[in-house]
Amino acid sequence: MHEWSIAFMILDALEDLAKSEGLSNVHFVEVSYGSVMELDGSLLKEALTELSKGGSFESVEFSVVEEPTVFRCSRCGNEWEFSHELIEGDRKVLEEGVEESSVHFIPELAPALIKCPKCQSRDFQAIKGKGIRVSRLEGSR
Amino acid sequence: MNDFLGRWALKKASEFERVVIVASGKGGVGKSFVSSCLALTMADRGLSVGLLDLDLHGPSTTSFLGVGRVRASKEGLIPARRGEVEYMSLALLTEGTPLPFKGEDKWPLIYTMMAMTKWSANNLVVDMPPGTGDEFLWALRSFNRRKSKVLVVTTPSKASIEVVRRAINMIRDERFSLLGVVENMSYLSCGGEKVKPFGEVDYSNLGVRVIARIPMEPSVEEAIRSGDPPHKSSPELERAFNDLVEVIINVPGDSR
Ligand SMILES: Nc1ncnc2c1ncn2[C@@H]1O[C@H](COP(=O)(O)OP(=O)(O)OP(=O)(O)O)[C@@H](O)[C@H]1O
Ligand SMILES: [Mg+2]
Ligand SMILES: [Zn+2]
Repeated sequence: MHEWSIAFMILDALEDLAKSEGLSNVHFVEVSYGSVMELDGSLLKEALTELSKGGSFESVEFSVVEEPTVFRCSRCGNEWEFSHELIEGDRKVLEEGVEESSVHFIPELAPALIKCPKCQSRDFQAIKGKGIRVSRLEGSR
Repeated sequence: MNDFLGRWALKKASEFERVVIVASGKGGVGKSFVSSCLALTMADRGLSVGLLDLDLHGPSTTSFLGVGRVRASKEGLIPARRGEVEYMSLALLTEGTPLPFKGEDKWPLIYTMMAMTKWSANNLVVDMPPGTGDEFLWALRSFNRRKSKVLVVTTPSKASIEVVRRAINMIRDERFSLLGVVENMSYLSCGGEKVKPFGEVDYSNLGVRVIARIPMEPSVEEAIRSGDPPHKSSPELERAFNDLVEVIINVPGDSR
């Protein structure tokens, strides 16, 4: 659901993003997000396509890619991939009658809701799949 | 190039008509109490108001407003509500877990929270943690200078004022507007008489005016425990917050 608000933010930034890359006539945009965000990729793609209608990115092909989020523990060096079962102590957000984890909206909450599976420390960092970004932009110069 | 959440957060932060940043530098002086009561009083006065709790390590506005429910819609996170006050806090998103965020992770945490939240209020009160670290810097950098002002809370103790002085100097250096100083736990009401247990304090060399003196009201704790509106713990307290709102509404431009 909030995939729609994310799509809106991406489209709002796209023009300046293309400009900073020296691109005009953008025809392909790839968005990558970390698995910790537990987004619905196809919904995000649908939202991007739908919201871009009637604007300057109408004919763009959007691609949405999920990257596994990998954390590294600063205490014991352990590296592990995010999985939903690791979330603990979150308060739920009610999204269309369904209870969703708060980390789904704010992935930076991870250290509050996840512990290193090996040593239980919360002193860790995401080394891959941190948040969400535009990972590829194609167009003409 | 990829900072679209940060960018969106800035856009949202600048949309409020009025922002009151409640800060101090000093811990435990009543910032969360003052910001919560201020928001509640503003709502009582018919203003549409939100409260953003930016205390990332020790969010505590929920002690005064209760732990409401955050919802989500197509437009993002819908803040919890206490009466007519909308509020957002990490205490609404986590149970009693530790919140060990590191410096470089704090800005993304704050701006993602800001970007994701759909406020409907025109006025925003922001509760700051103690100190003048990332949270405070983010606020000074992000809220519109023309529409935002800092309210500095202190207790009538030299130990507090010496720290508060540093915060005030920082606000000046950042060319941000100061609304004034709120002296909290200023006095006790004993049989209609004001007793100042900490004595009279001279604020003149801070170069900032004192815009409110909030009494120390023992029944606040009772209000917290029972979930009653804290800003109405006593008629005296209610009056003090009403007067403060009056000052904020009628602010005569910059008092830098
Ligand atoms: N005027 C008052 N009368 C009675 N109790 C008060 C008053 N002001 C604050 N308190 C109480 O003092 C305690 C500290 O207040 P509060 O949590 O608002 O301080 P703070 O400055 O936000 O602290 P921190 O620096 O940890 O964020 C709380 O228990 C609060 O209920
Ligand atoms: Mg506080
Ligand atoms: Zn570990």
